[in-house]
Amino acid sequence: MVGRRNLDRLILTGIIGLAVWTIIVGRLFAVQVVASKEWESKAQEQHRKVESIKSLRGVIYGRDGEAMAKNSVALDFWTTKRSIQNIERVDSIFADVLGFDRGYIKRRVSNSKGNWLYLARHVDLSNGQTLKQLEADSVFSIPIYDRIYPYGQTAGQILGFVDIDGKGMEGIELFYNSYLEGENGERFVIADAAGRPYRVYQLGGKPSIPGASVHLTIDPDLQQIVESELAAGVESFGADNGMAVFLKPSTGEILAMACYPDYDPNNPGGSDAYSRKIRQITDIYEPGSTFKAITFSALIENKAFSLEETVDCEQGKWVFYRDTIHDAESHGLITARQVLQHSSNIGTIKLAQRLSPEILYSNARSFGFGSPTGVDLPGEVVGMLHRPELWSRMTTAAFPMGHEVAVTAMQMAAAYAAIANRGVLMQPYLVKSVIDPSGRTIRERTPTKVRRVLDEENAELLCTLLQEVVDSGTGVKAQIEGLSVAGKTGTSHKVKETVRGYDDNKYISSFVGFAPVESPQIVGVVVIDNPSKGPHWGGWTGAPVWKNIVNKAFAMGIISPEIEVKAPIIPESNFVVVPDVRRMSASQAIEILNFRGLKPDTAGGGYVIGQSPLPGRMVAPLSEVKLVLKPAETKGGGQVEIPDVIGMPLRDAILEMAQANVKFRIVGSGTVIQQDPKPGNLIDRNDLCLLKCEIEKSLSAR
Amino acid sequence: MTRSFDWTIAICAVLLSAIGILLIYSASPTSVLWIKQAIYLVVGVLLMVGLWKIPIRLHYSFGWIYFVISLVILLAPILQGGDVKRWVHFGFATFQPSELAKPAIALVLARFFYDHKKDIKSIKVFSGAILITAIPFGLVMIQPDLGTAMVFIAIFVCSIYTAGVDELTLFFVASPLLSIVLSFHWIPWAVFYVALLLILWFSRTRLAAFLTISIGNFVVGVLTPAIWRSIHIYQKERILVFLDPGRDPFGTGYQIIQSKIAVGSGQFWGKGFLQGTQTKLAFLPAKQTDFIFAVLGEQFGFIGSFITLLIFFILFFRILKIADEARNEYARILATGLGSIIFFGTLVNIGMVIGLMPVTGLPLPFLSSGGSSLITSFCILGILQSIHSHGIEGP
Repeated sequence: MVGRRNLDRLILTGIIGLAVWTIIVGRLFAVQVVASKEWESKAQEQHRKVESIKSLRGVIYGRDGEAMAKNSVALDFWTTKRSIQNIERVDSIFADVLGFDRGYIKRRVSNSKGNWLYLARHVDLSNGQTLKQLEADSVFSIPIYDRIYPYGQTAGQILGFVDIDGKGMEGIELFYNSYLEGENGERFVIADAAGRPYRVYQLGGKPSIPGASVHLTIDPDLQQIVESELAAGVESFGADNGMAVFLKPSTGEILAMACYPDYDPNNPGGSDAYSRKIRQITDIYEPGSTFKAITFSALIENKAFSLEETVDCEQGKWVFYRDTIHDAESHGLITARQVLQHSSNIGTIKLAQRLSPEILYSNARSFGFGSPTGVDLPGEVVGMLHRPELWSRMTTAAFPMGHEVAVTAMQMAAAYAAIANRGVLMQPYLVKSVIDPSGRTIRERTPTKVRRVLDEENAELLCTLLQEVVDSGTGVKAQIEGLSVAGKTGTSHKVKETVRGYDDNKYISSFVGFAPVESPQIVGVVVIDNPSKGPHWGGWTGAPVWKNIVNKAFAMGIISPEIEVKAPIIPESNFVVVPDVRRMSASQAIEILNFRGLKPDTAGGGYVIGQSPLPGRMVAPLSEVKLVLKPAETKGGGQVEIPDVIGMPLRDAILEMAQANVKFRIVGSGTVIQQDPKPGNLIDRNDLCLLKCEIEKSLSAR
Repeated sequence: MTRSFDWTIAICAVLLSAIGILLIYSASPTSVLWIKQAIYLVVGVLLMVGLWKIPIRLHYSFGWIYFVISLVILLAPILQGGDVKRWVHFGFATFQPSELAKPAIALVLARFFYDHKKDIKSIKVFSGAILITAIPFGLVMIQPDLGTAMVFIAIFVCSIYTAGVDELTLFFVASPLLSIVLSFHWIPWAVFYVALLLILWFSRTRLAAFLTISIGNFVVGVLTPAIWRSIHIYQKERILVFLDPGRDPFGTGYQIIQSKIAVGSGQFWGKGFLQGTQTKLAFLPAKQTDFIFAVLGEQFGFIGSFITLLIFFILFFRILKIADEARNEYARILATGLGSIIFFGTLVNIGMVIGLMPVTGLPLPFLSSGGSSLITSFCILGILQSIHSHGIEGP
């Protein structure tokens, strides 16, 4: 019989059971109804993967409308470590199709730290078709673009190149990256726990926006002539290297600029950093006698001499202060105009002594020396122009003949363009217009006048003097039949690389000139570095190369001697190209922006980690540039932690290191492959962390 | 025979099993697991009907034999060796002995308590029952299978409580365990200890028991923190992971998170049949077995989970009713013991899936894929049917 007490026990059991049941239902309600949105978003976070849709990069066109950088479709192949099947088979097919070592894919997969990894990048479509059959083994492809430079080496340094992800690394590709890159699209993909995509999720995502095309002032035909003539010159003179810049004097448009040795942007990994440099703006040299034209402009402008007065050139040897000045040609009493014609150092110094250092300095500054030309390329340096307070007695002799001053080839070309342009200095530029994919012109560049540096008559006079240099002076080798040519030769000792002073046996020889004198269509600088065969003088090396280039340009009709209607010149610059001040200290960035006529908008100090507008954007003068600053951290003990930048492109790595306040030295270029000391270690803030870099080419299967 | 077959529990069980088969199919439509499960269901139903016809006095007679057999097969996987000691391998199939041991313990305890119902409150009987439970308990702890061990304790507690041991005795027996749990902070332990002394005083416990319980609890309460402080961190961690495997973020911790995501993202109405992303995209682990309830929750939402829980509730209610209606002491103890197996298994499994309980690896009765669990559950129902029909006759 069931007693009363036992029934109570069953009821108690039932009540406990009901209580537990209620707790479970309550908990389910809390999870599935109250907090369900949160769990749903966690679920989506897990299975919804964002896939990037690569944007089509803008095309770079030359002056004639021919594409100088374009794209072709290629494929990146990827997998996930957890989903890949039949790895032996995948490995052998990749080895067969792309020529990888056997076992390479296997190693790549097993060495991968993350689940998702690339197997091969930039695979062309025909190979890609074969590899696409591996989808069943969980090997997937994404369409991407290869950057193609149809002209090969031509204009390689100017165009720059892109990294494996299609980001501009140097030259125009870097400077105008924000216009060219467009915007990557996104789509959502449902993926399983192993990372295998399952289907495309229809909602959300966004299409990619193609980049804008960039139209250059570069004439590919002239560029090819300049490059081949420069190369021929450098080789025949046994020189180390050479560079040249050719501008249109009336507008400042850069028609061609070449550095030799050069490289092929289609294969940046196969080149060294030196041959990729745009040395016309990044490297400086002492101009020597080509600078005398600048000195003479000051003499003319200040009416400090008359052309026909005689100057004693001391038979080529004259003691000034503590040094002996030599002339290449010995002259006695010659006229002032002959001083320039024959490039007498002694004569030039004697005449220049009539001008104060302040006048000489401000004249050179007015021509643009000692400040960037503002050309739309990355990495421009300002050169070296000492303020008069810093001049020694010797400087007053050295400076007028182009020593103790260092310039870039671009500055020199722009300065002579100002003379050719009858006294008006124009800002050199490379990009005529930026046109978006719909055909709308985003930016149209009009020639920008920097300032008038010479009176028109004085400029006219200087042009005549420079024409005499070519007609009967040191520049005779630049004469072109049927064309009036003006120019100046220059030869300077190279500055020793390791110790102070000059190298007696190494020269930089150059020629700067323009033609036709009456209405100059082209102005150009040719610089030959360390010619070792034959005479080293600028008149014997730079001048003939210059002549060959200009002669061909006119003969082939690339440049016509006819007087053309001058383009309207906007008196003041209508816009400014925003410089790249990221990674700089705040004070440095402010200085540079002020110099460019922009208003930095910033608060506090530290490092610039972001800027708006982005570099390369063209904005109205006095526009504000917002700077995002990160304060330089100061941890106790003078030690800083090294961030992990392995695998980052160098530019990102530099930013990261600067933010972490770690000093560093870079070896190589491209992507960081090694750090010493290793990331995560503490380092004294005065010690260096070595960043070893390599252009990533192992992955590229082009 | 006054009463016949209980259709309610049979229909509830078949409904739950059908839901299980549906869920197993949705978890992996390409595998044959759901067909196997359907076959197990047929076998289970047949066994239930068969056991319904067997009078329970037969079970009473076989009580000790069931127990010995279950001990032998619990030893088998340990003797067979291998990493996972939860399975016995026969030539043709594998079997989980712990499943079979559950009803065997209920059967033997029911007989034991029935045999000693005169002096059910004596220390001797109490100790004997503890010993009977402790042997299989020890064998599954070796595996180690904490979940099944807890089910054994549940069977013990439910059986002995139904047999007539009063609440206070159960409380005193459990008090050292509570002391361990509460001793991690001195205030709750002190409150508990004072309460314990007061209860001992007012319940007029005999002096010997009074002293044993009070001193025992004091020693446990003082020693536990001391021992805990003296052991290494990794040892502590090992104990904590044993008690709550969800602490290990790469092992079962991952499973808990995934299970909660699946259940939670099902929301109120569920994602729909075959539409469960977490299930289908392999985020959810052990989806056909231990986490089958998460598969349910994801596809059919709160509403589906609630309906399933309702069926379970009806099933428990009916089992309690059967225990209530059993006019024989043996049958009632047995019915409660057997009912506690299904109730506790359900509670622990669902509690685990929704993050209320540690991950223990207990299957969800009727729903989880696997023959051992399903067939055993139906066997339990078969014995309950027999109690329902023949209970009046007595052993």
